[in-house]
Amino acid sequence: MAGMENLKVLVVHPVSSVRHMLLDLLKNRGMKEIQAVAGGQEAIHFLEVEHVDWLIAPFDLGEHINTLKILNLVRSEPVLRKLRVSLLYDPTSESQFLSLAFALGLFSCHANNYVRDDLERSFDQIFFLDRLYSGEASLVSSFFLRQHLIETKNYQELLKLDQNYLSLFPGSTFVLSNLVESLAFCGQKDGALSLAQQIELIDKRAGQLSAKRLQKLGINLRALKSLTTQREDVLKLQSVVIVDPDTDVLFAIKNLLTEAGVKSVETFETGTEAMDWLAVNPPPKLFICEWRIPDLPGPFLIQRLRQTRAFDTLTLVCSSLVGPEDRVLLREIGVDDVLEKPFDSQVFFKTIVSVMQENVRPTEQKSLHTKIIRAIDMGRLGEAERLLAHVILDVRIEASLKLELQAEFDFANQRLDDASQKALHALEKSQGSISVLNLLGKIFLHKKDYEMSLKFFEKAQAQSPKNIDRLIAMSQIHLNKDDISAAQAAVDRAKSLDGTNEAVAEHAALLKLSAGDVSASRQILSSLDKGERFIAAMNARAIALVHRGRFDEGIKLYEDALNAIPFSWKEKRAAVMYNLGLGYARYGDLDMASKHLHGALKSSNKELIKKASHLLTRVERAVAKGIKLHITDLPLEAQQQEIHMSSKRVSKQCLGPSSADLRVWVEKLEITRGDLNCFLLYPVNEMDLTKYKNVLLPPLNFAKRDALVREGTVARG
Amino acid sequence: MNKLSKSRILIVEDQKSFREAAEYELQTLGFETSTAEDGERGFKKASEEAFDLIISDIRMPGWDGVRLLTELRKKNQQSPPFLFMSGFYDFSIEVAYDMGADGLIAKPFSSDLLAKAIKNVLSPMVNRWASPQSTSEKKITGQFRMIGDLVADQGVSLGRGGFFIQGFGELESTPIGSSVDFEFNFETGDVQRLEGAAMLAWRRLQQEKPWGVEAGLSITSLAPNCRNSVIDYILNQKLIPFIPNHHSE
Repeated sequence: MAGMENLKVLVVHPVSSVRHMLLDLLKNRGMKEIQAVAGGQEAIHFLEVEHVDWLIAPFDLGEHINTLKILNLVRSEPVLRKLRVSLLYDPTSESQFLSLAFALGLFSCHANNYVRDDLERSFDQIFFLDRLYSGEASLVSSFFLRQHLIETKNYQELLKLDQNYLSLFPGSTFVLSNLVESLAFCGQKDGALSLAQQIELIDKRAGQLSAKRLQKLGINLRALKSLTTQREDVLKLQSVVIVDPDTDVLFAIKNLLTEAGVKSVETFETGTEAMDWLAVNPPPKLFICEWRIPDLPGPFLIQRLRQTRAFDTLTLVCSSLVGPEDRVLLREIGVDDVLEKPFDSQVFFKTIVSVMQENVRPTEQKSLHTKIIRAIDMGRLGEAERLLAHVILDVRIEASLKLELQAEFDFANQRLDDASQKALHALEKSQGSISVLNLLGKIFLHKKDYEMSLKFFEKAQAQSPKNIDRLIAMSQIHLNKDDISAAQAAVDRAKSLDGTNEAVAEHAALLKLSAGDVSASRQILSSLDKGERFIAAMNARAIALVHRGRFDEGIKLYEDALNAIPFSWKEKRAAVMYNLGLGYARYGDLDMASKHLHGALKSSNKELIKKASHLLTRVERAVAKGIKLHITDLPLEAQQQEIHMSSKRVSKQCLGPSSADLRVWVEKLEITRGDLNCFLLYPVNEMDLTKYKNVLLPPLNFAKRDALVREGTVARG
Repeated sequence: MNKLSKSRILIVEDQKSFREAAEYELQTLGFETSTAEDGERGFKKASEEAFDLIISDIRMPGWDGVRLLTELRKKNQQSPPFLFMSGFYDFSIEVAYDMGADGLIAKPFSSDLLAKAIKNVLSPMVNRWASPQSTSEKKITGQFRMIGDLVADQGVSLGRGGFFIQGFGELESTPIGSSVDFEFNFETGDVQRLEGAAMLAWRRLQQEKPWGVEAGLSITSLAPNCRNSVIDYILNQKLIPFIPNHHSE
């Protein structure tokens, strides 16, 4: 949020002198758009027709309206979600409601004793904290709740609150410093001291301030010799893998991260060793690597990491050798940040903290883009949609990015026509963004429009020539167009970049097979561990051939594949035999069908055995009766694709978001931690709900006006 | 290359791959090289043979790079020039300059930057600072009693390759690495004028202190009217810091 001064404020108070005092106070602090009303009903009407960012009101607004009811309204009405509510309360009779109010999403509380100086001081804290926390409302709000919890000596709740905030702001020295204080209040002296040391490690200055805060509570950091307490993972990193040929850097980073409480830190001098480890271990939360690694340079190492389906792993490149020409590739392969060498511990932690915080709560366009793509890649479409709602309703974000991300989302949902329309529109607005070009390449590939797909991929490749996956996709397209030499040229280019990449090798094996060179294909496959990509691409190719009426070629590809696939890949052989058996059955060669279906029965996959034996029964019955078989079964691997293809629907013309569209997205806005002050970070006490049932009911009526939807779509944070 | 490439360079690095990579690169550039696996061996070699430049890693078993530099400067305050080569440093860059290092280069290195850094430190001050002055928009000026004096919380302290200043609030938002023109006049002492262009090497914000910004600047050129007197001062005073990181008392 760009400064409190630009917020639209509504002051509600029955006493006109208080209203005027508040109006004066806010005007003096540079606020320009301030309105004031006397009663609750008037306030609700105002909210129904005007956009308001900040509401300042007493607890009881008359006419059965109170602040708690307003807070419930804010959460239930998506158009009001960004409204900050500040409470002027009577310290003698209304403090009892504060805990519940914060749990329901209150922004701040101010004791109103009708003394102007006191109220001014209290409001000045908001303006000061807003600057200190760069407009992060949930942090500003936590200050007021913490104050209340400390005054009421509710230390356990204070501790829980600070721990929740740490998961939202990993490594934030503000939050860590609060946590030190709450640990001390709870009598966990060692924990407080250990954490204070960690803050000093991350940021010397913040560490000194935190030590001073502890000293005020009678705990002296310097008097401490050694600590046996288990260290808190203050960065919430859990597991990290570092690859750097420089052992000094490995040692230094491992040391720093261990001190910061990271439980698992693995270090490797070579890319090959790292890949071997990653092949048998779960992907780390953070992957750090040098750009220049002799056996497997950073750009290819990270692409291989992604090929292991580690889409969610954050990546940091630590190197002085990343040039401006690498920037496009960095973005394509999802690098979160680059740390220039040589670096010291303070710069290192600053970078890590920013990477972690951008991941939890993306504020920059780039991180929002990355986070949505990651959610889609991981198949978390619900999360992607929720994030997309934020992007679409955020007025600061460029229209081209909104369209691009909607197109990505449509593509993930196999709505290919919608996706291509939006992506083409985004391309026009973004003037050739590489991510849009790449997306269009993928969309048209799925639409089987190979010429268009290739055109977009080629444009993208010209901007970023080291993208291995794209080179494979391009080779695949050439193959589909029966241009084996162009297909080979693309795969050769990929090989020249990363000669030992398994995905490249698997594709090369398919090319050899398609060219009829079974022994060369066998040789490549025998050096590989898995070969899933080979099987999938080979199946797709065979099916495409059959679809185009080239039955003999499809059958031959399967036959050749069986000769090329190593005997040790039993399950894969069985799956190919099933598809081959199915092919023969369709073709009418029932003897051959029977032979291969028998082969497929050797599988240990129950599902496959069931399918194969079912088909075999039908084949044998047809042979016995001498009748023709009508086959509608789909080959394995192709089934998913066909189902998705059939779900495509004709979309309406894409003209950019209309007011009605925006309303749909507003409804999709879900409140998550940090979106609404302390809501979800400070849990609602069920007993309070029962106790104050009469205060909370009946709920307020609210009739939103359409004009609000568009105007109310402002940035969060 | 010219005369420079006849220079002898000692590489001190414990990790074989980097030692060999540096050796190969420097030989390709035409330099004569010698290597040592740790600080102590490096010191011994530097005591027995003459080198025009020492490039050293920081973290090594036994004597580390810092110890090597300290011992070398005990023997000879100003030469040979010394470059740290490292990916990570446990101390801040201002400490490295103050200890007497002439610069810090990243590891793994970029050939171009390595060649540029070497060329810069090997050329004599009189040549290094003779190139025409920059025309950067930022210019700082001041009038002091003498070099090293602190007046009204403002002052300038000179090192072998740059100077430390404090009290110039205008540097608070200047990006590190950017060019700054300067012109200082001194009432008394061997140096009465310090004028030229420099690169902002580091900056500290001392908020507790009333004088605020402290910064280290590396000289890139000196005006002809002060060049010789400044160089004489540096040589006569036997200054160790390349850029001091505090005021010399």
